[in-house]
Amino acid sequence: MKLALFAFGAFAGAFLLHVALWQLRRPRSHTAALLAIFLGALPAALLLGALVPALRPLTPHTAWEYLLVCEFHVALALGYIVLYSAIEGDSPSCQIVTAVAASGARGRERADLARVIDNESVLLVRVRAMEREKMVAQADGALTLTPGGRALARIYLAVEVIFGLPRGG
Amino acid sequence: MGSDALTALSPLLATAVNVVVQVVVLRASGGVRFRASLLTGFLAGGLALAALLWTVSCGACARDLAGHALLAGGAYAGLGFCYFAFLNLNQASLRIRMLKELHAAPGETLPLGDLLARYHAGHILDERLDRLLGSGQLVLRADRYYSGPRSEFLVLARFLNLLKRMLLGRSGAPPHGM
Repeated sequence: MKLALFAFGAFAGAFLLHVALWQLRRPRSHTAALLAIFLGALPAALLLGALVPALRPLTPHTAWEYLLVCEFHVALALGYIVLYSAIEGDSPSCQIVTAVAASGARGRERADLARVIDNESVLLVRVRAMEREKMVAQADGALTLTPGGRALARIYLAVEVIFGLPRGG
Repeated sequence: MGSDALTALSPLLATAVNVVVQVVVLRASGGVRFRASLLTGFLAGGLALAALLWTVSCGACARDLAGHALLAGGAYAGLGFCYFAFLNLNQASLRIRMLKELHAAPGETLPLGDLLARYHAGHILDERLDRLLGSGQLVLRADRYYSGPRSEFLVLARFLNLLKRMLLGRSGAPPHGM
């Protein structure tokens, strides 16, 4: 259980640091900042474990234990970063079910929901985010894919072909 | 292979089982049972993980095993979630859809107005309403939408709103009286 305590502690430390930093000032590039915080926390925790004698019994002792702790930390970190993109953006489906649930027994007409799901809140916000993340560039009112955006589009087109999935979105 | 090695590798082996089973189920259904394939793959990987941990349980003391199993289970759940999100993005992400539209356009360029005309909010609303009705999250009676018998999406939306308030100081919920 000591190893689990160490691994949970390292992840919890990274999460608390992330929450504290976000209260002070949110970084411009969220994904890069989250990667730095969460992936930097593990070596920092291991270093702390090596330097502080009281923590030494909790730290990994064999190569396999190091691997297990790394797998746990990296898997949870990547999972959280994926979840964060859902926290940051407003998913249309989540907005719809929330709006309908808030109406209770009265329900909602399509026209009511169209006021929540408009071009500004759903599409233009995402276009701006893609520009910020350098996936697309905008000039003279036209959008062009950047090399990063092209690479991502190709990955997902390949996934579509491999899995035989219909076009989503 | 020693029990320590098997424990450490168990999340990766279980994730491999998850991926293989998911692909086989989806392929066998002709690409139709996407969500069922994700669930089946994840459960199959979970069973493989449990079997691997049970195999090593004979050689380890109970306390070590509990801690290591907790870490292996956490790692498997994290990897499973990343795999689910990776595939689900292809189906649900508006950004990925827009990137694909741009990729298919001549010179990989589209006027913003054209992109909005092809893929406007009304179109998105209709697609999402269809999906939510199809999955039982909503029901339609006399041209009005009501919460459906299944509420997984609503639970998820409330959880995300809670995190949004905690981290970003805002909620994704629509304004009152809407």
